[in-house]
Amino acid sequence: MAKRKAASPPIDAGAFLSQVTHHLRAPVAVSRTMLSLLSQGYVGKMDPQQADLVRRVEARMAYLQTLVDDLVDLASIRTGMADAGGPTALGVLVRDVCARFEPAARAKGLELGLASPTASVLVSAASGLLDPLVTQLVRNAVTYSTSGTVRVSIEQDSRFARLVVADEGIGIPADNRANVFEEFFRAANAKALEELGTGLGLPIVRAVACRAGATIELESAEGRGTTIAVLLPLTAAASRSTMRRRARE
Amino acid sequence: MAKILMIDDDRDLVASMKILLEAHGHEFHSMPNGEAGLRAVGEISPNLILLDVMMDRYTEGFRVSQLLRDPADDSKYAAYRAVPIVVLTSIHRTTTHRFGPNEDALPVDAFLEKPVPHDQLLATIDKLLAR
Repeated sequence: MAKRKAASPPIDAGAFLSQVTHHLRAPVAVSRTMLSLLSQGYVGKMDPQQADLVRRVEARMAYLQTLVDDLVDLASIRTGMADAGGPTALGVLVRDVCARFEPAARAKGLELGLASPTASVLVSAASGLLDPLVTQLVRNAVTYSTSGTVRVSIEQDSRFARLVVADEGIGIPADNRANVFEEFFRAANAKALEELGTGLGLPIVRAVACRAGATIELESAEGRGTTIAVLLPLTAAASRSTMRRRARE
Repeated sequence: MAKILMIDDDRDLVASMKILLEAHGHEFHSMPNGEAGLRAVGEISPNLILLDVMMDRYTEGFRVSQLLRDPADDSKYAAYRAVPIVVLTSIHRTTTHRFGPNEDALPVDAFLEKPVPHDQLLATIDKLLAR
């Protein structure tokens, strides 16, 4: 009897990741929808103990959803599935991300401010790639601050856009700074403040920076705050334009 | 209030939306796939459609929205072209694309990511029904 070796079907990693993500996210999202019907009293009033349990399950499900999203972001960035080629109007992207976090910042009494140059800053990486980076930086700043301000700014020199996110939050202990870019690492003071964090925020920032040819600078003082700057390459046209403008000045 | 048709294959989500929307006075109908949903559009004549993207087929919801908004004069769905369509999906992070309402690429009125906060969904529905 003739034997034929089974040929492996070609793997479409992007389609596979899409399917896996859908199958992971969908049940979590629906569970959160059903829980919110319970917590908002659509199917009757709960006693305080029941309401407390539902609130805890809601928090866990929100964590699970963030974990799935973060893992998918990290996988698509690392495997090259996230689109790398821009250009991106960095100011527009950063403004959109800040708008997403404005309600969370306001709820905590934080001032979330954005300062950017008037000229549109065009960086070479794609917005789909940069979105997770900006999101994680702003999310961390808001999550790990209990008061004060979160300042987001964009400056531009002849070759780079310098995106800076500075907070007055809990900071990173000196002996943890070398580890914060490792997957699932969480500083002790971060865990104490926010029990449910994925430990994937700064690893995502690092992964994006690697793909985008960017450099990261981190400054932090425990109890006083953290400043992270990311230097993103401008598009060639933006870089030439900046150099011409500077030559005229 | 309004007749709302949900086209979605997730029975739990459909059950949840039925509770939510009926509590706010809407008449709720549902269908589990694009083909049955398109049939129901003609039978129910909804005021608004809630549409999933990934059902039996990967982007079935996109196909449904394109058929409903087909600009051809002889389109079978010409009478329903103005019915607002709200896409509810978890596709946001499943592709490298970022989808949004767009007359050409995705002819829908709103694109909301699951889980949609109830107040956001209700506000979107109210705004579209008031148009």
